[in-house]
Amino acid sequence: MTPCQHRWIFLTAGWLATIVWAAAATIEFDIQPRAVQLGESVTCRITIRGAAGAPAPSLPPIPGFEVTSAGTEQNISITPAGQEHSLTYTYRLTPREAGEFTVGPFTYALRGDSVELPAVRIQVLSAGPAAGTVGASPQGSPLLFATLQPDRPNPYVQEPFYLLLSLYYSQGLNLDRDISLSDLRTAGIGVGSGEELPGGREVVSNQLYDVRRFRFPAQGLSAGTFTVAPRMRVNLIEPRARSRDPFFDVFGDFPFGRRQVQPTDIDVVPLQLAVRELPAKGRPSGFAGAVGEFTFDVQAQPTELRVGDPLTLTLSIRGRGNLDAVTPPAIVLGDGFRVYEPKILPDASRGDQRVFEQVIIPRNRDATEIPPIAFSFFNPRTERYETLVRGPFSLALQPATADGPMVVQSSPRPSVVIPEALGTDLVYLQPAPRRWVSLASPPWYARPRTWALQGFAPVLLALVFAYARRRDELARDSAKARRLEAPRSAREALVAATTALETGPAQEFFESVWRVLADYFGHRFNLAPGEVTREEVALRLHRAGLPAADIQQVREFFGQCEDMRFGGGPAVRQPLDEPSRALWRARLDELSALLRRCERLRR
Amino acid sequence: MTRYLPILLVCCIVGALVHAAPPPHADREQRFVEARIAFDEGRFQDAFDLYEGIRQEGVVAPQLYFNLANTQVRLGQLGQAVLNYRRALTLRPRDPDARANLRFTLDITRGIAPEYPAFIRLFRQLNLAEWSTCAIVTLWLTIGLLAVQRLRVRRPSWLLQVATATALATLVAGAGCLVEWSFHRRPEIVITARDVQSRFAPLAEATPHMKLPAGSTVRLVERSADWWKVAAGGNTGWIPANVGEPVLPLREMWSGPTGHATVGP
Repeated sequence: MTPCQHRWIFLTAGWLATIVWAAAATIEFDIQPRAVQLGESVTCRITIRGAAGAPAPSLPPIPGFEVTSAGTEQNISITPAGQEHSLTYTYRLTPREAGEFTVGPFTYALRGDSVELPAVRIQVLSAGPAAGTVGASPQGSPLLFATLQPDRPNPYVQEPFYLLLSLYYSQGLNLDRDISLSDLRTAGIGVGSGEELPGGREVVSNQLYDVRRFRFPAQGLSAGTFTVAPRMRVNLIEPRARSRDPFFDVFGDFPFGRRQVQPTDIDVVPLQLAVRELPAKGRPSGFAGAVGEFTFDVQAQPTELRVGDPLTLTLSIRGRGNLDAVTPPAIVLGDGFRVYEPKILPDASRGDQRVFEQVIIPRNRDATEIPPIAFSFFNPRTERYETLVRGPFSLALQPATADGPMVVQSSPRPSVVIPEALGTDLVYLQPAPRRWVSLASPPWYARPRTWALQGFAPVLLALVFAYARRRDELARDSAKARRLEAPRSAREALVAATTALETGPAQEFFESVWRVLADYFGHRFNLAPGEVTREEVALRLHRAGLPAADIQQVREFFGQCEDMRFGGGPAVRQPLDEPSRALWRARLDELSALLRRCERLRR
Repeated sequence: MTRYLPILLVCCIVGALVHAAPPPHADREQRFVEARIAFDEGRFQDAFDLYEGIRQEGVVAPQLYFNLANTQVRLGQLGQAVLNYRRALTLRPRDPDARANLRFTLDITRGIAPEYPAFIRLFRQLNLAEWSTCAIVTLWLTIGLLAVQRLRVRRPSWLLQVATATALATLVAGAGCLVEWSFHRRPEIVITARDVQSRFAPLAEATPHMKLPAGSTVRLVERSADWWKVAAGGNTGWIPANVGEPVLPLREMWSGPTGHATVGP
C-alpha cells in the first residue's frame, strides 16, 4: 500500500469523530483541523448524546496548547422513538509552538463509568507566507495542484474500485465551490458519478494545504494499461485590480465589489492504471465473470410436491463486487426436469445483493434430486477463483393426480439443430396477403405531415369555442348585439335609399333615408323605434363626444326627412328631378361618412 | 329501359376490362403459391429463395414474414426464423399462429425472450398503425363532440361525458403510439448467429459476459462504432453488430430493401 493510500486511510479514519459508547449514551470526540499553522486554533468538540445533564468534561492541561472554553450547545429533538438529548462542549486549542503533538487520551466520567477518549495527533507548522500573497512558497511547492489515485493498485478486470481525486490549495487562495472536471472517463475504464468526501487539511512538503476530495466508482472493462488524465478547472476568487479612472475611483468599485473570479486550469498528473486480466489458471468452467467477494445461497420451495408441479429455486448472491454483471449460475438438470429461464427479482436486488428466481418442473418420479448448484467468482483479495456449492436438494415426489394437469413437453433439444422434418409441430403456412406494404415510402402514420394535420383539431375547436362564446355573449347583451348590428343595417338601408333615389318617388326615398337614420341610431343607442327622435339622437351623440358640427348635420338630416315625409305635399309622390337627385347622391355620401364617424365613437 | 341499355353496355365493357387486366401483384401471388408448393414438397431452399425474392422487391406482409420464418425453421436457421416471426408480430401483433410458432422455435433454441411489464404487453397488442388510427379517430371525435356540445344552445351534459370518454381514449391511444415509437427508436434485436456471448466492453478482447443463444431477443441500449450495447434479463453487455438484426425499426420500413437493416436513430 502506498504512502498516499496510508494517508487516505489515516485521514478518513481521523476525520470521523471518535465515538465511544457508555451505558446507553454515546460520546463523540473530535478535534478539527488536524493540521494548522502557528497562530491558528483548532476546535475540540465533545458531544454527549442520550445523557441529559451530563457534567462538563474537564480537560487537563495540554502541553504546547492554550485551552479556552468556546461554549456549550444543547439540542433536544423529538423523534417517533422518543426524546433525544445532546450536549456539546466546545474548546479552542491554540498552539504555542510548531511541531507534532498528541492531544489526549482523556478520561471522562459519566454516570459512574469512566470513558477513555482516545488521543488525536495534531501537526502545527511554522507561520507561512502572509495570507493573500500569490506566488510559489519559499520551498517551491505549488500553491494549487491535484492528484488522482486508485484506492487499490492494479485492479483486476471487472473489479470495482475507486478513483480518488484530491485538490490541494494553499491557505492563501480562495476557491469557488464550483469545480468542473472533464476527460475523466477513458476507453477501458468505466467511471461512475462521483461524490465529494469531507475535506480537511494536509501537510505536503512541509506546506499546509486545504484539501477537497472526490471519489468516483470505477471498474476496469478490459485488461491493459490505461491512462486517466482528467482536466480540472476551478475558480479563483481574487481581489479586483483597482481602476485608475478618477470617475470610478470616486464611487469605488460599487456595485461590483472588490473581488473577481478567475477560472484556472489545474494539471492533474495523469494516472497510469494497469488493469490485470483475470488469471486463466484455475478458472472454473462455470465462471461467468463475477469478480468480488460474495456469498451464495439457494432455497428450493417446495421440496414435497407432485410430478408436474412447479418448484422455485431462489438464488441469492450477496457481497461486494460487480453485482450488476452477475448472472445466475447455470443449473444442469437432466431430462427429468423442465427448466425455465431464471428471472431477476428487482425488488429484492438491492445494492449489495442480487436475487434470482428459477422455476423447474419435475417430469417424472425419477427426478428426485436437484444436483448441486455452483457459483464461481474471482476474489481479488485472495487472487483466486472460489466456487461456492449449494445442494444437492432432495425432492419428495408424489405421482401426478389422474385429473391433474399433465406436463406434455418435448424433450430438450440441442442448440444446434440438424434440419429434419418436424412434422406438424409448426402451424402451417399462411395464404398470400390481399394487400402488400411497400417499403418505398414511409407509411402514412410515419409521415410528419400526418401528425401536423392533426394540429388543426385543437385550432378548430378553439375557433368553435370563440364563436360560441361570442354568440352567447351577444345573446345575453342585446345592447351590444344591436350595437354590432348598426353598421350592417345602415349599409343595407343606404343601398335601399340609393335605389329609391334613382327609381322611386321622392317619398319612398325619404322614407329610406329615414330608415337609415332610424335603423342605425336605433341599434347604435339601443333605442326602441318610437324613441329614435332628433333630440334624443343629438343628445346621445353629444354625450358620446361627436363634434357639434356633425351633430348639427345629423339634425339637418332628421329635419329634412321629417319635412319631406310629413310635409312634402303632392310633389313627394313624384320622383326627384335630376338636380335634386344629384344633390341627394352627394348628401347620401355625406350621410355615409357621417355614420362612419359616429361608428368610431367609443360610447 | 332501352334507353339505359347503352349505359349498361358501357359499364359492362369497362368492368370487364378492369377485371381482365391482371392486378399488379398477380405475379407475386403466383410466386407465393409456388413457394408453398415447394415447401410442401420438401424443397425448403427453393421455397426460401422464392419468399426472399418477394421480400427483396421491397414489399412486406405479415404472411410473408411468417412463411419465411417457417421455411427457415425447416432449414435450421432458427435465429433468422425467430427474427421473422417477430417481424410478423410487429405487423400483426395478435396473430396466434406467429405466437405459437415463435414459442415453438424458442423452445428449441432456448433463446432469451424479453420480459416487459404488463402495461407494455397490453399496449403491444396493437401495432403502430392501429394505435395511430385510434388516436386520430378519437381525437377528431372528441373535437367534434366538444364542438357540437358547445354550439348547441342547450348543451346537453351527456355530450360532454362522451367527449371526456373519447378524450381519455385519445390519451390511451397516444400512449400506445409512444410505446410503439419507443420500440422503433430502441428496437429489439434478435441474435441470428450461434454461440454469441456479450462482453463487458465494446472490445473484442473484453471479458465475456452473458450467453445469448440464437433467437434471443435483446433490447438496444447504445451504439458504439460496430458494437451494440444490449439489455437482456436485467443485464447489459456489448455484442458485435453483425451477430443480430433489429426487428423492423420504423426507419427500415421506408429505407428500402437492404441486406442488413440499419438501426435508427
